[in-house]
Amino acid sequence: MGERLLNSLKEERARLGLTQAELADRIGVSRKTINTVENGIFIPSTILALRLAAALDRRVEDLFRIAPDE
Amino acid sequence: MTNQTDLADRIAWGRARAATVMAVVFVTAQVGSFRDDLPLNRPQTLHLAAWIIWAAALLMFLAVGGGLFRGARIRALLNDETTIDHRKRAMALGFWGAIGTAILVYGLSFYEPISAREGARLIITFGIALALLRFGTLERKALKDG
Repeated sequence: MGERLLNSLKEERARLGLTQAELADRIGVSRKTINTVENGIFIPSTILALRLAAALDRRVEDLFRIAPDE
Repeated sequence: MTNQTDLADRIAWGRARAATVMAVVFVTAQVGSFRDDLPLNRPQTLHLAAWIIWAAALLMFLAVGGGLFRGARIRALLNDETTIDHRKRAMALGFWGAIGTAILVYGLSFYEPISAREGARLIITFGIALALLRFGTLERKALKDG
């Protein structure tokens, strides 16, 4: 336990030219949720991760990865 | 930003600020009344009734989170994954706050006569206030632009 989850949500969102609010709107969550996931504050549920991946046309494992041991 | 996402964002900001303000006002009002009530002066019935309704309303605010008179979509946005997580964490802190206050009240009762009613007021007040403060803090932090 105590592992950190890294993500490339911000980069993938920028690739599609989406704002946080636009991505939030696509998957039916608040902008706050996108913001906290992007900043690594909140770890999304599997369902939310799958919805994010679908909205960004990426696989979940392309968006999220566990930080390597330091 | 779409209208609904924008509206949910604004309501969430208001809710976060309201949670913090309500916690401070709730504790401040109780501290003022405890000065008169503790240890022996019994609070007036009307005062107590108003307080318990106030406490119930704050608990309702914590549990439901607002947006009751908005559409289903706004309500869903106001109660999405992060909000549910923040609510759980706030409630957990409120629980520990209530337990901590109960232990303090127990200790205090050896030195000062304290009625069950007054003890309950202290426990409920600090439990709810801590939960509200935590919820407000978590929500404000999450709403800040990344």
